[in-house]
Amino acid sequence: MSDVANLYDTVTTLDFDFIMEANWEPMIEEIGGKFYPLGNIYATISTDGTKGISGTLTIVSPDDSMDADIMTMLQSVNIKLLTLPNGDGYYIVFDPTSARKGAKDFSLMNTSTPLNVWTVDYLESASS
Amino acid sequence: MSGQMYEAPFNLAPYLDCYSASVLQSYTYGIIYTGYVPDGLGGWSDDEPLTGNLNLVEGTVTIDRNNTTRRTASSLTILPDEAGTLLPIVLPTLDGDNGFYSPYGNELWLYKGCILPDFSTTVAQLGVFSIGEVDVNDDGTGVSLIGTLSDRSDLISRLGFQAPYTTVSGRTVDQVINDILNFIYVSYGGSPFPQSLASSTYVIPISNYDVGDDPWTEMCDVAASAGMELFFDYSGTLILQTIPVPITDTVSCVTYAEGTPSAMTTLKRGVSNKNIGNVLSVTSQGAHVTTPVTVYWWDSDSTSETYYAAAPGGGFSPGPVSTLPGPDSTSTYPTTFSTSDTSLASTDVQAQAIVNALGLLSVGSIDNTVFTIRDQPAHDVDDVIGAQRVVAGIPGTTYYVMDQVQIDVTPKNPLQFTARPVPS
Repeated sequence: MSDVANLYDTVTTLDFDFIMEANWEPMIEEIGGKFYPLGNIYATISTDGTKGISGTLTIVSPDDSMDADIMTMLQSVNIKLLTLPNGDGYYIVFDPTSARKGAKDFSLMNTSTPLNVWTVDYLESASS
Repeated sequence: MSGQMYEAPFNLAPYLDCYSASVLQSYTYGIIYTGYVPDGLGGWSDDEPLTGNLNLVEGTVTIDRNNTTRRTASSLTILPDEAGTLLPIVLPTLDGDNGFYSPYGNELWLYKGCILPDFSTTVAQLGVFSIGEVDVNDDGTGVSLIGTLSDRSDLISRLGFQAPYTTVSGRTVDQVINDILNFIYVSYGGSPFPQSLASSTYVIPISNYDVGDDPWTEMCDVAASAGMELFFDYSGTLILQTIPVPITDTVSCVTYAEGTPSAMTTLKRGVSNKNIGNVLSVTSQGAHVTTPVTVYWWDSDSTSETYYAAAPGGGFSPGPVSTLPGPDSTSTYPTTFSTSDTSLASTDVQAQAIVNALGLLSVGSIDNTVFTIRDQPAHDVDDVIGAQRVVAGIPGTTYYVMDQVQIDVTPKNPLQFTARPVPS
């Protein structure tokens, strides 16, 4: 897969395109903590039962003018929607425990061309 | 029910339905607003949002009925945005350009809720907080902004009485509170805050306040002189209300029973008779109290561990009583007497309202229990919940009323509340 993907902010109208790496293969896992309610035999997991997708996604912004908008979008609490060229859609749910790391990982990295790279650490699928 | 769980805009039902099935993704954010500022026309400008929804990295909101500042937020950490609109600046420009998350008058409104399976969200408002202190912490891996905040009562305390003030004769409790508010905001043409002050028939004797006295503390004392409480609620509204009686004014909003997914994750019962009075008295006396009176309250609930004697007129709260009977023969609790003075009660009926309120808050506190649950950000002081945990000495569903709630704004982290059993 090497094609254009889209990332939308589901609240605002901001969205942008970027190149999806052909070998991008996220890991499927449950996201969230475990709780142990008193008297309950089994732990309770802090998800709604859907499987989450975890992985690093590289986003290349087309020009410097997009940087602030992209950062604002990635750091906002709004739920974001990622659509892939194959038609799949994923919601990206902010995880504050990764925010600090995210702030670091989201920092600007210059490339040979005047493009800027961003990464997203946590994705969650819209359905099981 | 004094909490917001049954009130718009937070809709409890879908939350609880999902909550009992599994733990949902938490959803939390804050919005910075301008504080109330004079509009130059004798009034106040409305709150204006300065930011969108801000991520909250960590922090704790505490709601405590025993603290005159009922709502506080500590270690409230947010990250500076790329554009630098949040960061306090060492030397702001002359036109006042500075970060929004600065302790220069702005307010932070906090919200927490969850993301439902259809990815819609529902949130409860945790409070409206005046930004009091912000630490800019740069550890080399990034900058974080850590704030300490208080509800709007802090703004009233800081004003102080800037001139001596004497209350007007014949004014009732709610009128006196309103009079003080208007006096300390007199140069601005009146109090700016939205407020809901329940009316009271109790008349406050003339009282004098000196320069520098804390208006908020004095107003809380005036409220207490009628068995009432004064606080800012989750929406930043000033509330004066009679202290709810759990057995008649509230219903259990949720039950945390062992063996269910919604059970508490820990509980700690502190059973102690230290400083837990079962006989209380209030004496009202002072230069402006015509006839000094002393009245009594005692635990008249025969099912209570601190039971003293039956009420003379029956019911939970005895009528105005100026003599104290001996303990009932079935009373086993070591009689513990506590007394307090006031100069704000003009009649024995009013003094009785004070001591009854003190008794209402005291009964059940011999069994002070700290619960930890996964989350329920809509909980508030005075909420009544059911609990059951056999091995901890709560064999059947027992009702508790909350005195303190601690909400961790970090998603996934649990909520803790301190509660005492509701008298039957």
